Amino acid sequence: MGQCLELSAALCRIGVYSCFRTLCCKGPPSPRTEYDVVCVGLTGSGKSSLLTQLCSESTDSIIPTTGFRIKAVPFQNAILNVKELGGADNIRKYWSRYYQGSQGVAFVLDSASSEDDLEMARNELHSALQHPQLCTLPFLILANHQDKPAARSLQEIKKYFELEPLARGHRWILQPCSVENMDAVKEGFNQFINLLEEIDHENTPGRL
Amino acid sequence: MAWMSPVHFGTGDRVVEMEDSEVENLATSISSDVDAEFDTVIGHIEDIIMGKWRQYYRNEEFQMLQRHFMDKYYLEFENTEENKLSYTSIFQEYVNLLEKYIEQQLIERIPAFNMATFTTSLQQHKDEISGDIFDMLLTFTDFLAFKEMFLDYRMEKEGHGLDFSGDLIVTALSKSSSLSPASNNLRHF
Repeated sequence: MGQCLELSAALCRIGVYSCFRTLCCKGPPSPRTEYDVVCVGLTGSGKSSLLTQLCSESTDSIIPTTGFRIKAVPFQNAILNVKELGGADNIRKYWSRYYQGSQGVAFVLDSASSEDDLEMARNELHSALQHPQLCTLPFLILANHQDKPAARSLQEIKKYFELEPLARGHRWILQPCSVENMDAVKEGFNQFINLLEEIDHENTPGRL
Repeated sequence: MAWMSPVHFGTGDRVVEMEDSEVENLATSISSDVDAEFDTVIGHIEDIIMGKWRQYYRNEEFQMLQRHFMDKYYLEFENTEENKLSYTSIFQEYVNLLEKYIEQQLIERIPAFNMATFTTSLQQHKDEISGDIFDMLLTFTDFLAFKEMFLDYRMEKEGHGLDFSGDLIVTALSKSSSLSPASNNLRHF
């Protein structure tokens, strides 16, 4: 069994760029670094909407995700291969099956949700931060739906989610955003990519 | 990549023949032993997939295994961007079944086969593996390649899924109506 995984791992690392994956920006692929990211969050937090908008696709037909999506999202300095998982109650228990191979985590939350939902989101975030396969990875926390009147502020979110104590041992970014302000979303992701690059360089000494 | 499209194997421009004498004549380079070993393994993988053993014994076990597996599950796969959670467990099952089979076959054919050495060589020689064999190997590791294989298979089984209903207009023939060319749009195949 160990040997099977070796073959798989070797082929994964080869990373054939153009094979079967639809890069959502039209145009010839350029040799940018790729990182594998898993995107989770409660249902309705806005994962599908944000990722779809980042790919300049229409969000008109978005319905709650009941399975998972794989999207190659292009940024200036890198391409993020995002595995986006549905966030409904009956799907969350399967999240951990998709953690393997991730280099970073994007956690999306609805800043304007009810108290109960916010608590649920906090529990899920903490579980993710502590999960053995994610506990050393950088986290991008997107405090979405900032355009709604009921949205909690950045400070409130940081405090409520106990990020300072509980995200210790992680590198993390807390980015307020909404689908109305995609610049903020991109800013968050670009900083996230910088983190991923830093970690990459730390892990390969001697490589420029 | 349709799973049963004709496959042309070869490493780059060279077609690897698996007669014992020819193995020794493989191109040499600085690390010629390792290179030759790598080519040998790739050659064997091609044989395993194609169902050849020493050129005269045809055994289509691999293709049968693969086809049987796809028959079992192809109806589960839909051509949508979103993936069902079930695809993941089917993918795991596929890898366990078929990758293991290839590994067992390699060990049978190459007594001193070492997976670790091979996977290292795979990194270094990645540009030399021909498209078809690489596509095949990719279905074991790349979920989207695996999904595409199933979608292609489903399309083959269900007859391409083309919908001609919009192209056909049937006009009833009766004494009172005259048949004019404009009302008869049957397309002949």
